[in-house]
Amino acid sequence: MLVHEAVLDTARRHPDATAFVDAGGERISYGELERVVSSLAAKLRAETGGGGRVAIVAPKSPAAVMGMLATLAAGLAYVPIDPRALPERRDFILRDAGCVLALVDGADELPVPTLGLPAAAREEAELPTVGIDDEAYTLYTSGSTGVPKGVVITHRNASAFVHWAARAFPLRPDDQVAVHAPLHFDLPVYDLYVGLAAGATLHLVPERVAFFPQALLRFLTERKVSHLYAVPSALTALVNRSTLTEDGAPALRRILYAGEEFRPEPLAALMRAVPHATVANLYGPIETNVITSHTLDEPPSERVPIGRPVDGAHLVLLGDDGAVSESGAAEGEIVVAGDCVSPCYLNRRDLTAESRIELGGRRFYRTGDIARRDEDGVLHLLGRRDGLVKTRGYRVELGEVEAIVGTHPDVAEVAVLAEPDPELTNRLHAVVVPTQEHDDDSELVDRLVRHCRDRLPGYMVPSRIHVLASLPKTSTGKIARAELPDLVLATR
Amino acid sequence: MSELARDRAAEALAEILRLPLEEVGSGVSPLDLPGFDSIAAVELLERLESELDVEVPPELIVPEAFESLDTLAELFARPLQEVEA
Repeated sequence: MLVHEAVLDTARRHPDATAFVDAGGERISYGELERVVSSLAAKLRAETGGGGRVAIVAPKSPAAVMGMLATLAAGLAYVPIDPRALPERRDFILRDAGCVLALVDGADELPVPTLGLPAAAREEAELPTVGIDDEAYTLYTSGSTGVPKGVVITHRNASAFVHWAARAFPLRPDDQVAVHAPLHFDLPVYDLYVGLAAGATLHLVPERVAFFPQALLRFLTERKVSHLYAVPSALTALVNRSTLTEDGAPALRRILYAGEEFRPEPLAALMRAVPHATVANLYGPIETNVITSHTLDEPPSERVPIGRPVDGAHLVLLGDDGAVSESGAAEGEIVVAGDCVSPCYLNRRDLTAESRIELGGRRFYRTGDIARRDEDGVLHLLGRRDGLVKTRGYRVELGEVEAIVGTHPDVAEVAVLAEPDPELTNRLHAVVVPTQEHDDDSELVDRLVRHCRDRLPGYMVPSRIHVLASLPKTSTGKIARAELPDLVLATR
Repeated sequence: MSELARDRAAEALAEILRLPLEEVGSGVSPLDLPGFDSIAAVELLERLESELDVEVPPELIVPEAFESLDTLAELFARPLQEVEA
C-alpha cells in the first residue's frame, strides 16, 4: 500500500478514533479525515484535470495535512511551502514547480489559482490508481546558486522510508504524536504517514509554541505527548530553557532526532530528564530520506554515531582515491542507492548529474557527508566536502547566502562562513568588502541585514556581518577560507 | 518602573532585529516583527535580564509574554517590584 492508502485504510477501519487534536483542543476523527480527504481529492481532480503539482501554502494544521493526503489520493503531487516564506521565494517555488493550484489558508495573492482550506465537501468521485513511481511530493531546500532547489520524492521513496520507520519505530493507536517540525521539512513525513497509518493521534505544534521551550513543554505535558521527532536545536533549547529537567515529561516514551549533530552534553541531560523514553538518532539528507539510525542505550559521554544503514539503503563509502568500501573499517563520502533515494532535482539536470555517481552499474547519490565506519560497522560523521552547513536543524548552502548578499549594490566581495555554536549547531557570519568607503559601517550592516531578510528565510540571514577593507586571498586569487574564522573573531 | 522596562524592551528589539525604533513601537506584536524567531527571543531575554538585572523564571517565558511591549514590560516589572520590596 502507498503511504496515503495506508492512512485511508486505517481511517475506514477506525472511523471513531481521533486523528488530530487541533491548536484549540478540537478533536477530528478518522471518519472525518476520510470524508474530507475523499471529497477534497475529488474536487482537486476536477479543478486540475488530474495532473500537475499542488502547492500547500498554509500554517501547520489538520486542514493542511488533509490537503496533502487529498492531493496524493487525487493522484497529484504536493509542494509544501512555508506560509511565512517571503513572497519572492514562495512565488519562485510556485513557478519552478509549475504548481497548477495552491491550497491556502488565508487571502494571500498568489500567481496561481487557489482553493481555500478546509474545502467544502463535494460529491464522491472515482479516484485514480496511483503508481509507485509517480511523484508524491517535492520539498525545496537551499541551493548553492542562490535559489532553492526542489527534491522530488516518489511514492516508492516515501513508502521505502515509511515502511522501514513503521517497523523500526512503530506507533500505536494510543500514541499522542507531536508534529514539531514545519510541514515543508522532511521530518513530519514520519509523524504523518507512520502516525496516521497506525491510528495514532497527531498534535500539530503551532509555530509560536515551537519558538518557546517552556510553551513547548507545556504543550507536551498538557497533550500527554508520547512521541516527539524534532531537531537537536529545539531539543537542546527544551533542556536548557524550560523546566523539563525538574518537571520531566512522564508520558513521553520515544524521542527521535535528525537534521544535525546533537551534542553529547545536552543530549545526556535530555535523556536523564526523560529516563523512560527511548532516544534514537536518524540520519539522511532530504534527497535520501533516513539512511542510518542509531538507538542510544544510555546518556552519551562522547559524540554520538549515526549508526548503521537502514533496511533497503545500500550505503557505501567512497574514498578520495575512488575506492569503494561496502563493509569493514573505512573512511570516505557516504554514497547511497536504494528505493528511498530521490530520482532527481526538479528541472535541474545539471545538479542531478553532479550529485550522482555510477558504481558497479548502479546509480548512487553522493551525500557530500564524510564518515568513518568502525570495525563493528557503525558509522560516525566526520564533516562535509563542500559549503553545506546546518543551523537550527535547517540546511544552508553558504553559496546561496553569498549569492544573495552579493546582489546588494554596496557589496564588492563577500564570504559567508559558519561558526560552530553550542545551541544552534552553527551561526552564520558574512564578511563583506564594500564597493566604496562608508562613513558608518553600522548603517551598511543594517541595510545588508534588511536586504537579506527581504530575500532569505530567517535562519539563512547571517547573525553577524563584518565589514572589511579586503578579503584574504590564496596564491591563486581565491578567497582564503581557512583564514576567515580568525578574522571574524578579531572583528567581533 | 514598567515604563522603563517597556522602553528598554523596545530599544533591545530594535537593535536585535535591526529595525527602526518607530517600527518596533508602532503597536505591532513583537512576535510579528520581521526577523523575530526563537533566537531573537533568547537574545532579547538575555539582554534585558542583564540590563535590568533580573532573572525571569522559565515558566513565564511563553508566547503570551511576547504578545506586546506591555506584556514584555510586565514580565520584567514583576521581578523588579519583588526586588524593590
